[in-house]
Amino acid sequence: MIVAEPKPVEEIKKMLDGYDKVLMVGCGTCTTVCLTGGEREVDLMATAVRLMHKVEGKDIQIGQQTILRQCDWEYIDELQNVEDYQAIVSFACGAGIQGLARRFTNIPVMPGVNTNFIGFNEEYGLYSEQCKACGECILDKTGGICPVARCAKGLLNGPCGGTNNGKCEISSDKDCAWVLIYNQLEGQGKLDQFKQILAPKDYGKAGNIRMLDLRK
Amino acid sequence: MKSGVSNITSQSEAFEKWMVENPVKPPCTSACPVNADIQSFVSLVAQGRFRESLDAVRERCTLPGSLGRICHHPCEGECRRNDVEGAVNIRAIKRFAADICTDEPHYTPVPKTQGKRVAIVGGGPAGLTAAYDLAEDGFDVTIFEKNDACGGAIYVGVPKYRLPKNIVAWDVAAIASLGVDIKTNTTIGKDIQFDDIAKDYDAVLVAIGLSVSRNIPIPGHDAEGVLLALPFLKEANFNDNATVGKRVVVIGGGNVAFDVARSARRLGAEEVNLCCLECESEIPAFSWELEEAAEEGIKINPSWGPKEIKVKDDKVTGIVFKRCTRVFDENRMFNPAYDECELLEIDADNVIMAIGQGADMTGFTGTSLEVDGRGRITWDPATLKTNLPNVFACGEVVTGPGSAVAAVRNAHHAATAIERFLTTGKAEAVVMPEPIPIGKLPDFTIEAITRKEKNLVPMVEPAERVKSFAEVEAGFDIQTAIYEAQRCMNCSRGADIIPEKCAACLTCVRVCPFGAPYIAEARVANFSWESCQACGICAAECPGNAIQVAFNDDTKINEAIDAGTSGITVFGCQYAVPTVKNPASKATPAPPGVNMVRLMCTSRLDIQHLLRAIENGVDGVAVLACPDDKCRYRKDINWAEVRTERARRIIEAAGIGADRITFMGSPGSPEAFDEMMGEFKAKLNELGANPLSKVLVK
Amino acid sequence: MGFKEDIQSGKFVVTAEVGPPKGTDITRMIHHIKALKGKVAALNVTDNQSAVMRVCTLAIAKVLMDLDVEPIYQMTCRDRNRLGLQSDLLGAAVLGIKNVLALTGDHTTLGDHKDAKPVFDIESVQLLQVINGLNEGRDMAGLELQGKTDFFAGAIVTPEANPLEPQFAKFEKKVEAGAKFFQTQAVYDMKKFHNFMERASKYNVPILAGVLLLKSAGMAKFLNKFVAGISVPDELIQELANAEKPLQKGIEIAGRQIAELKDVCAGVHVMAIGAEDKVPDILAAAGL
Ligand SMILES: Cc1cc2nc3c(=O)[nH]c(=O)nc-3n(C[C@H](O)[C@H](O)[C@H](O)COP(=O)(O)OP(=O)(O)OC[C@H]3O[C@@H](n4cnc5c(N)ncnc54)[C@H](O)[C@@H]3O)c2cc1C
Ligand code: SF4
Ligand code: SF4
Ligand code: SF4
Repeated sequence: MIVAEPKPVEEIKKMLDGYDKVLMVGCGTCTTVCLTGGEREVDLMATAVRLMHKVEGKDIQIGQQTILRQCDWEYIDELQNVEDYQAIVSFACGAGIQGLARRFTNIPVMPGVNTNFIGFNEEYGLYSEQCKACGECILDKTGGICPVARCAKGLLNGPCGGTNNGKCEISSDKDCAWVLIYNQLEGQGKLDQFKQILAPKDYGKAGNIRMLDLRK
Repeated sequence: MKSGVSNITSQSEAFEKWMVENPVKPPCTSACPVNADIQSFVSLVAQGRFRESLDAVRERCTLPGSLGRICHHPCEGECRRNDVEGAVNIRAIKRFAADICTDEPHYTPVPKTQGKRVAIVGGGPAGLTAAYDLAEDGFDVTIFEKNDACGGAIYVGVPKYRLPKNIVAWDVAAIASLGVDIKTNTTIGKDIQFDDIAKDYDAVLVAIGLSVSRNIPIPGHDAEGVLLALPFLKEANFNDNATVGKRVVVIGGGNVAFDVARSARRLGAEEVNLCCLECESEIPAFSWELEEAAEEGIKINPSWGPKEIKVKDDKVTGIVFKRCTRVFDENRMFNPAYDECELLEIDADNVIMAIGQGADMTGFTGTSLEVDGRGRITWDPATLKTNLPNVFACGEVVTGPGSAVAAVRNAHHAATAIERFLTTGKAEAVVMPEPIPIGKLPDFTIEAITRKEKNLVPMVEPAERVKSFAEVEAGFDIQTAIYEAQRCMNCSRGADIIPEKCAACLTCVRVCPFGAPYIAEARVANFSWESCQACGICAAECPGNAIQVAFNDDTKINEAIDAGTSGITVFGCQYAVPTVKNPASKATPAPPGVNMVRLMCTSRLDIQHLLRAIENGVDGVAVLACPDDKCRYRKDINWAEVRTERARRIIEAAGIGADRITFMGSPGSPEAFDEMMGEFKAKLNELGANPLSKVLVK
Repeated sequence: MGFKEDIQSGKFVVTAEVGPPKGTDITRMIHHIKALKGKVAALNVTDNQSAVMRVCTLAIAKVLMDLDVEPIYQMTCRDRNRLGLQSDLLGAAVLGIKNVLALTGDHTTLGDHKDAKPVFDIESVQLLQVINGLNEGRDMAGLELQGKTDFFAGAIVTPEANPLEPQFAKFEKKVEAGAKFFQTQAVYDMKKFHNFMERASKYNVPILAGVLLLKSAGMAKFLNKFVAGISVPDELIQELANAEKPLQKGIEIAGRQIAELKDVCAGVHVMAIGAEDKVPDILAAAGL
């Protein structure tokens, strides 16, 4: 799932300087699940922004709507009376935010969240990055543990010298992906896979303006 | 409605709605013959809101002081806390709510808006209850009572060591205060004729109970020294010079027999034998009666049937019993069999018959009220009507002997029937609710529930008990009552899902300490009401706002928040906010300038709630924690504190000042609470007015 | 005779390192280089060591050569993508640099530009392959070069890594990818190092054991706490703590270590971290 975090309310407030009719749009899928862009957060942000305006003696009207997904035209079109607003704050991931920006070209659309990564929901409120969407999956060779996403350096051929007691050199609370991979492969009796030198990745794949056409 | 029980966790109206709408009820309420809103009155005691609790009790248990002492409390038998470490002592809590409020004024009369008059014959529990309901509904109610005071069997029969008479009088006075006209020393059939009231009143309710004790026609049954239970108990209750012989034999195994035996001990009998037909396991009296009687030195002789009373000079000298081999036959019909070869003779100065009561129909024979050959009123248990169009009957006179609370239930039924008859002109069958109890607590939930040992009520030592008619059972003190009330788990008032909003995100599943939520087949969260403890953590975390907790929903919480527009708004769980300053006071317990918002648990607190209070213009918002050892829930995460922190950050960013919202510990005592509020106020004074209101309450 | 020849001849080889300064003033560095000149086979030139931005390696390597000292050109993958790395390597060849040490490089978050985008387009094993390719006359894209390189490529290994196994597997990969010599992270636990050497010797690549000058007990403790793959034994820390002149003690210890390593591996790589002028004393203490 896509994981995002709430933007500080100050930042949202700043984006809305000069507007007094604003629509806040929640997304009912990924950002709801990661507690960042669902109806509750939209509610909270709307209240917070309204409070901030009130303190400054300004009036702001904030509409709130949450749709199932902001990355699909059909759901975006469920939004109502959008033209009544001067600005939109989207609480979807970057894809959804841009969905609104593409649909409502004459209304500025602001991001309400910072989109972080493709992650796994470890437990309540705790998410971990698992995939960089590199377009060239190598999980078959790395014991099902992605070094591109989970090794701080995205190394492909084993741990760097910084690996320390199973932890990564960047932080003692992060696992060294390569130790995990080694252990996993060892447990599966597949250490020969570890010994194969993996070639540099084709970053041409990930670095382009990506489109996927499955109809072809 | 005579008193507004209005707060978030208990609302009489909400309760009624809930009774109708919710398919399952807490097992205590389901087991209670009058389906009392036990959670509400228990939780009000837990919050120190005693007067409100008393009013909530009285809604269904119309005689709180009396029933708080003598009710056989089937509720406790079903309490789900039994599976944790022991039932909530519901009866003692009810009694506490009554006792702590005895000096409180009763009610103001309810205006008689209906313009219809109802006569009630008999001021026992049944008649009093019907009077309560009908008076509340605005009818003009008159009770005709034969005795010098109301209360019926619990007044004349139940011994005062279990139920002091002033308590009954207090219960009666509360009902009278609603505007019920009570005419004592007025026997229908003697002082006033039944047919006259049947004509003069729009409706008549006959609730004359069972006031004559039966005798057994065995040889010697009319000798001097043979007594009947009810007259004997009446003597014991009201004649300070009453006496009894040194050796007493009581015949009967019901609760009345035990009252007789135990009263005899108190009147000076040294050797009291209680003999009954039933074998030990079948003795109909409550187990605690057997225990307490045995403690008081009463010898219980099961499986003996009276054969003859030995008489000398017309006076009782003893009694002979034959072995009773069975009481009921194959068809569960009363049909005792004896073995005449096995006999038991006991010497006695008095033999007291406590084998059952019958109705006294003398005042009704020859009237238009139809009474059958066996002296029973012709009666329909669904409409509660007699043969006469405007005459109804209820209570033991028609249902036969039972418990007081059963008579109260039947009287609620009758009151509803009469109310409908008087408003629609038709007598229709009234269906009383038979709530389905919620299921048992699952094991994993039991595991997660914080243990809190049950409090028993203190009893006077047996040796001391038999010396007088002083009450044997003491009530709870305030602290114990509150603690005990805090043990209630609010069974079945749980979380509910708004399916369209559910994203199946699993947040509820993950945050619930009790394992209640699960993702149901349609990929929508659902809640096991069996497990849910109604803490509200999930409702405040659900990112889709898809969860509401019954009795703790946002609409009600917001109403309570909006009551505060200046000063301080305090959020606390129903237990953390100490309100026991003036124990009996019904008035808002919070210090002036403080708006108290009670949540089932502060884990229900939403950041929005805090901001709403600030937006309303209050100077400050405090969140109280309950002490860890008191928390009914579990604080793996201190949700309230985490959310308070976020709210603080938001108002700081808004330039309102983080310190206007504060997370406080548990005050512990009302005095400490006042102190905390004082300190907070001082801090708020420093901060100046909330920029959103510009007026500071000093 | 250069570094490559020395090492291939089986001579016990000593290397040391210089850290390019942060800024354009290289006088102190030159002082160090001069002190080491003639005492060591070659000097490593670090590459934005610890992810701290400094003068580029290439320039300093050139300075070394101008002073007639042979450089070992350290190259990390952190700051350049495959284009940058290859073009720098070609540049190094043009300048006459012969030795390259291929490294992954410390993560940017450990350095002084924490917000930098770390590159890691390729990593040490792949870099070794790339160098091989350049030596053979083609770049990563398989395109032919006009004039090939002739690098003597080395890599690093951490013999006291915990856990060792993944590290050792990577060592094997580096050998396979064309590492012709190894310099190790500082070695303190001789028993562990012996074990490592026992396993490593069958690959037939010369290994220069890392010797790090301990300047005080505090420094030793710091290393234990914060530097992966280094564990200074308590006895050494005690020795330093008891010493009147800890630096002198450190030099003595380093000398002792080198003497001990003499029969175990192909040489030593002495890291004096800012006290490069003390390297001759260390070597003297080692009896070299
Ligand atoms: C000794 C004893 C102990 C008991 N202990 C318990 C106990 O511990 N717990 C429990 O739950 N229940 C107990 N009960 C049962 C309980 O008291 C009865 O279930 C309850 O009182 C029945 O209420 P009622 O209103 O139907 O009748 P009653 O209480 O009998 O009331 C009828 C009233 O009608 C009056 N009356 C009768 N005829 C006339 C007339 N012609 N004109 C005017 N007034 C008239 C009577 O004086 C009486 O006041 C006990 C009963 C007895 C006798
Ligand atoms: S320590 Fe492990 S996870 Fe961290 S950068 Fe090095 S190899 Fe990657
Ligand atoms: S815990 Fe409370 S609600 Fe549940 S059965 Fe017991 S008294 Fe009733
Ligand atoms: S209200 Fe509390 S007990 Fe009930 S489901 Fe939600 S978290 Fe669980």
